[in-house]
Amino acid sequence: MIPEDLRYHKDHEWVRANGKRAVVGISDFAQENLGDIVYLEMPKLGLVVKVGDEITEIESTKTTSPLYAPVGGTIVSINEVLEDKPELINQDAYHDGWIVAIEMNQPKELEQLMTDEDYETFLQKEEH
Amino acid sequence: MKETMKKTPLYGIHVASGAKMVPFSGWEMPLSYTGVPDEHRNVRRAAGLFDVSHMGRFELSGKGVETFLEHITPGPIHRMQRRGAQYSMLLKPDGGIIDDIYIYKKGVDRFLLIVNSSNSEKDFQWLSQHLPDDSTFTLRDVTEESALVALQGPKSWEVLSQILPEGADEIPLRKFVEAEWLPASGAKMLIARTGYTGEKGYELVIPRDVAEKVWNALMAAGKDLGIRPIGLGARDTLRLEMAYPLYGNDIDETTMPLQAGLERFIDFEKDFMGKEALLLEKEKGLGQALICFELLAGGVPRSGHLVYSDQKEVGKVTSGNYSPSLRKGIGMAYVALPFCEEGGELLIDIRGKVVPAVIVKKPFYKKNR
Repeated sequence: MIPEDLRYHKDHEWVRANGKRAVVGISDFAQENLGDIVYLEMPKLGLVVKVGDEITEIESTKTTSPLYAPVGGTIVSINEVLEDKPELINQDAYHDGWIVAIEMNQPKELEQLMTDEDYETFLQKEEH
Repeated sequence: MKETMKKTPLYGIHVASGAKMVPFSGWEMPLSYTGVPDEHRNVRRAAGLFDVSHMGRFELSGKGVETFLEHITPGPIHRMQRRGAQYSMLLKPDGGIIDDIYIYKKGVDRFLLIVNSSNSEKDFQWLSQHLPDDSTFTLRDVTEESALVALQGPKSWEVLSQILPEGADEIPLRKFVEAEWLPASGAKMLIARTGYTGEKGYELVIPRDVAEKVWNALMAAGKDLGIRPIGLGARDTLRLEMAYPLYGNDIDETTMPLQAGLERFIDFEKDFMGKEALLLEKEKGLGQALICFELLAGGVPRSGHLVYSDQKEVGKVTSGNYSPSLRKGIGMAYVALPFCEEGGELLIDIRGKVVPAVIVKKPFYKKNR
């Protein structure tokens, strides 16, 4: 199930926006493809990113995959629980497995992201 | 593509239990069931059951086989006793490693070889080509006649003994028994005290038609002891924690056994294929060695990452992953000799980020007892 209340980036990040604050994680599709996530280094608070910048890298038993910023802004919060329990991303990608929160400098960028329906269509194409 | 993939006798069980299946050297194999780190820790803590039926199995029998194996492998075949097992290799004349293998001596001039799946065809050809012209013995690929199952973990004997006749003796390390399993009347299993995890454990060669029955019996016997099925993902992290080399990563036709730290499996008292090259290598100096390192900061090393000492490139990572037991990044790398000292610090270039590492003694994982 792809949650309806989120926006999605083509690199499989999701965004839960509330005012200027955007919570970011990776989709179920992404975690499923990555396999068991074993490590990720948290970015520093205050890091300024623009859309498409690499925020960090997610390490699974299989491979390494970058986490890209789906929106631009300043990283104002990180999910510290993941430092000990990165597997939360596998277990609950859309809630407990959130990764960072970004204070957006241009909340309009959200409009560039996909809705749940767009993302579902996008995934169907990806699978072909 | 999928239609041409080979399936092990236990394929149905894996699919039914929801395993994530992946292609692996022509076979459709379980990568994981519940999650690699979980499965890994379960083997260290209790017990795990692995389907490794994709590994190649050859039977060699007939007069002169022992002499042939003595020549074609570098280990002391003459020291093998009946129902003993020996880790060994197939070497090219230039010392490069064709494969690393396990040899099981079933009797006088009767042997079973277990080889890497990815090298099975190559090994078979190599052996066939080198059979003595006047030989009357047979070399047979028997891979598809059986399942190969590994039962590994501190509770493995408690599990195994439940499916053996009452009062069965423990199997000593690197020995095997050939046992008849009752419900499979007449079907003989080979049970060896060998493995690839560093835990106490067994490998079972089970006739194809009773493979599912035996798998299910072991799972049932181990239920209260915490047994779980384990995929190839955890098999890889378990072997890496023990610094067991993986063919294709840490050793191949371009690497030498001495550089890989495999000298203890080589008998320089006898003649064997590749001996001259190995002696020459010894004389000239090895140049590089396969070392084990732990990262001193966060990150996960991977095969192909370059290794530096100060500004100088001194080696390359051949295996790397996150260690579920040590909870840090670990790896093996070929490093130029002056930089191979235990305790020495190296730098690993993880995609542009330079992470400090320390050279450690193998294995990475040491039991607390």
